[in-house]
Amino acid sequence: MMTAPTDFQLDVLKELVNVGVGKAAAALNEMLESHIELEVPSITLFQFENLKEDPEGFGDAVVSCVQLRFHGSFNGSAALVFPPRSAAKLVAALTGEDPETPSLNAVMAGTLNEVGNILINAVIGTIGNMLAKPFDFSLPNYVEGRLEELLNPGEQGADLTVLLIRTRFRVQDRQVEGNIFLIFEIGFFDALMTAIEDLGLPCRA
Amino acid sequence: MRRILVVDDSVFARLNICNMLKEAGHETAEAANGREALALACSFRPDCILSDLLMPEMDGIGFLNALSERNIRLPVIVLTADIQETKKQQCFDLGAAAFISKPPQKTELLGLLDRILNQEV
Amino acid sequence: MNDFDQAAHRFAILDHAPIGQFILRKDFVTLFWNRCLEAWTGIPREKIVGSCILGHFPHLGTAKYASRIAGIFGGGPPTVFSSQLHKYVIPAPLPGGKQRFQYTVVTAVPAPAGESCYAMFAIQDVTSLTEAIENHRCALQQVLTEMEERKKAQAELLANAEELKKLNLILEERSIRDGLTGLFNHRHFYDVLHRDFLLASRNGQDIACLLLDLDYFKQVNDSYGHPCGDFVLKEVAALVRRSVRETDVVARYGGEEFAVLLPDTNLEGARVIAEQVRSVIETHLFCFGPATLNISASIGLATRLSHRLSHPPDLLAWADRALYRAKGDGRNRLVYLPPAEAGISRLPAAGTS
Repeated sequence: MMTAPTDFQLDVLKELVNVGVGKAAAALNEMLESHIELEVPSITLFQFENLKEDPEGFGDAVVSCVQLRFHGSFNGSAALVFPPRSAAKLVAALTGEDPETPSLNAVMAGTLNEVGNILINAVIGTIGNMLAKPFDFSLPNYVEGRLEELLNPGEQGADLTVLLIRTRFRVQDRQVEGNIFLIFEIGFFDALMTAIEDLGLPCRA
Repeated sequence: MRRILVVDDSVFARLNICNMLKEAGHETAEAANGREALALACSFRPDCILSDLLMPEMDGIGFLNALSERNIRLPVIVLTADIQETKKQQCFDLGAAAFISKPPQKTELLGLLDRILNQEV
Repeated sequence: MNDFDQAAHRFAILDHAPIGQFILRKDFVTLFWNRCLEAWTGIPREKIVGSCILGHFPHLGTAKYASRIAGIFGGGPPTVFSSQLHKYVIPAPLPGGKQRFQYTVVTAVPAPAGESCYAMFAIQDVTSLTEAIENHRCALQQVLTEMEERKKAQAELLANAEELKKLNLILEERSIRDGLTGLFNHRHFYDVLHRDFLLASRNGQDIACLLLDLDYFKQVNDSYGHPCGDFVLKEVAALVRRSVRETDVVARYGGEEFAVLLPDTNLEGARVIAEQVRSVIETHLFCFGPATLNISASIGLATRLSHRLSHPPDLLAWADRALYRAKGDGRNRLVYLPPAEAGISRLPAAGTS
């Protein structure tokens, strides 16, 4: 069981996430023709088993998800989750089309992979840079399904920490919600705090 | 050697930067938002300000505005993760001296600082 | 062994991949260029390996690509260039001039110890997939358009059917009506008589029939002209229609002859109504232009029960007989012939005037 994070620990996480999302926004804008804005994200931490209580209100809905796994000083997975139809709206806004089909086709899924990849990489990359330890990443993968099934990490479920990052994309006056679920093995915070100590920062402020 | 005011709503970010500055021998003061920073700009009398953009109560842009309204001429280095041309231009128009991306690398930050401070002299 | 020989050895297996693959060193020098790419671009590896790739593909040096690729050299996570947001990473024209649509993934690959990573590019050709999806979308759009058109056609058909129904009703009306007076015509009267008589028979009710003929009508036409005659006929029609009840059936039976069917009416009732009609016609002033005319009518009357009839035509025949007598007895009068007088069980066909 994870002890509740201290204010300082949350502050560190928040800053890392802000920086990550900010970098992602910069990267996306560099790449896209339409201007994309990412709102300052809000973050929540909870145990994986509490995910069943459905903090996002997705329920049984089929959501769109870009997933990847990482291994290194600690293991986990990251998933960028969109509520139903939001993903299609985002892709359409990015490519300047009107979404005609309610579900994403394979080509649009590719676009989502790219955008999700940029966002997740930026966030994990920032955290990883702080830890100054290398990660191995899997390739991003687009899937659709019920939230609980998509994020299912296997037997270790109970011991995992979930970092939920809520952010909104605004493209050409259209707003789309996205949620990044970062799932970490136990000991994540300890690893993070140790790394900060290693940098010579007094981390229990 | 110099007095630097660090403005950021994240305790961690301020800690990080102040550490770097103190190691280089500078004196530091901290503010969590634009409003606090304005007060310190007068009382602490810094030689240079390092400011984040996204903060509650008064954000970086608001802070830059307030500084120019009060005719406080201090070099401000803007710290942000989201470096976009539009934001950059906006800050420069409001009188920002330079831009640096977060998280700042020690050598990059100190080098930039020296350049800005020496310009002032 | 230099970097290039090492790479050629190490990455040889990529020549067997059905995807375009190349390896870049941190300084953007091409270390490896697989067979697939050679085929796609027409650039043999000898020409491209060992030199900076920006010489062949300068767009990779733009911010859009360079910064993300730079992240890979630092050992960062894989990055994706999708087909929708980037036309291509390495332009590869198809025969016919179109460009291949590409889905590219760039991953960090360990370099010899001490150096930063290499960037490995894996380019999938998604042209046929993209085309298939586009075709599907077009087909879908076509189907939707067709459905719209079909819906419109159906709506038109429905509208036409409605229109047709309306016209049919009008036609029906016209076929049972007399054009001049608007009353039912002879044929329709006969049909109604037939039906209502049998109904009355079944229900044990009485039913009466009046045959009305305008007196000296030929003279009206001769003296005042046919337009006047028509006017008189129209007026009489209206007068008769107004004088009888809603359930009574009024028809123009002949040139100047009118028939009225009075369902559920006995002899006394019929007499009262007939007299009303006769009187109204007699007293009415027919004004046509400068002329003012007086018209009278002769009326023959018959009922089912009073004559103990069982065939519808017989009712008409009796009324007709009575009308004939009315004319003979001086016109402008109502005549009912009791069964005793005729003395014949079978009457000749009706219709003399």
